[in-house]
Amino acid sequence: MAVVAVSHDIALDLKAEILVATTWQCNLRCSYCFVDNSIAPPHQPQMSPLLAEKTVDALHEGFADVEHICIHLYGGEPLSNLPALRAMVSRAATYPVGRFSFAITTNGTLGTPEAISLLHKGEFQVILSIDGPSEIHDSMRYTVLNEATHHTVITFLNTLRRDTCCSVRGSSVVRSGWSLSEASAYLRTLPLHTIKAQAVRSSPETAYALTDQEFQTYLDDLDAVGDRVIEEIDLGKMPLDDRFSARVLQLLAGIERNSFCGAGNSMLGINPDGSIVPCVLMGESAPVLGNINEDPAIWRMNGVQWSKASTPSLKCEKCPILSLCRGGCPAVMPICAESECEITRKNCEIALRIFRHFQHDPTKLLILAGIS
Amino acid sequence: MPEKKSRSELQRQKDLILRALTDPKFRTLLQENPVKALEISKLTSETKKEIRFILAAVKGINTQISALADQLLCVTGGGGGCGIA
Repeated sequence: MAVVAVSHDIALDLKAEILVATTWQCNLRCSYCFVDNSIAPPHQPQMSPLLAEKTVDALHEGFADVEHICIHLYGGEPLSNLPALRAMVSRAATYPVGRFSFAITTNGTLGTPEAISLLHKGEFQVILSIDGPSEIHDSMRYTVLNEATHHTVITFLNTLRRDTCCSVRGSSVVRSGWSLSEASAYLRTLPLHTIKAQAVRSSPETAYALTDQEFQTYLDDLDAVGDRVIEEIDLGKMPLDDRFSARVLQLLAGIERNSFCGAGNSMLGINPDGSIVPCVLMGESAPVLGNINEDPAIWRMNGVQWSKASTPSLKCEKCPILSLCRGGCPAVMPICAESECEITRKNCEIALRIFRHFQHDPTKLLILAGIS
Repeated sequence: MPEKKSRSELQRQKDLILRALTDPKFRTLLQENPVKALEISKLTSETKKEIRFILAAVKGINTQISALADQLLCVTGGGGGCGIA
């Protein structure tokens, strides 16, 4: 197979990532959660084990041109639908080693022995939501019965690290009263493989949205994250916070980005009923590309067409960092608009700064790809 | 047990990865005519293995570049989407 020429169908023969929402139900009622309000189709049932198995088969068939498929379970809380998770892991195991891998975004409060065992069996990459210490975490992340969750989440994390081979990314939501520097510092105290803290995804009117001053601090804190990344690269360490890695590597490779991400193309979203969208984070605005029960050629073609039709806005055409951004996340831009644009621009500027810092010794940057 | 590479060998390998990543002509030559690309007289099994590694590394980097993980939920890149689970 030819090495991928990075072009419009960037790296399409390498890896696909499929966000699968096996349920929109969740046992938590986080104050800032956007799912209830904008994503979850009302009263949609959970994905059945049979449909979960079909999903694995359909992805294998639909992405015949791709070497590897990462199924990223999402929701709702995916651990609240263990039968679907179990069915997917078992089905994927019937394919050659390396064909499928798994990731899961979880609130970490339903870590039953069976759940832990399945995560280990599927060698999941776990994205675990931990906002901060208990007073910070529990003020936003509580159960339907208003119970605190921090202690349970930390127990889940420790169990994952002790009893499984899973890699764990800690993810923290930055909001009014809880800064990026505080969130990053907290995550660095935990036994995590990677970390990421990011501003809350909400409109500016909400109570937890960053104030103007906090937003400026957020941008300054991003600079500090960039400084830390430079220090870690200098020491030959893989940065714990990898938010700049893809863009720095893009600069190193000297190529232009042709789309913000792989949505519609090398990335798709699947709802519990099997309907397929470019990304599950797009909510109701997402066009339905097809259904898992249909001929995969249909939804693959629809996805590629949607991706090609999704071009940056006219405003973006004059932006100096367009080649590193290509218009921003199609799921987040409609909600966060200017602030998201500003954050993305800042991320790009910092990536450029990191790249320039190592211009005299660019092989050092290969650590961002795990090459040390 | 695999043989441990010396520091200079590792650096040479990284230089080759970087060149293959940034120079499409060299990358193509490495695939199609590795003897010429590496200016060597003979292709040993060890060299073939190294070339496979270099090309795999470049493919991996290109995948990582394409899988931009700007949102918390995005797992690759790191990783994929927005993290409010």
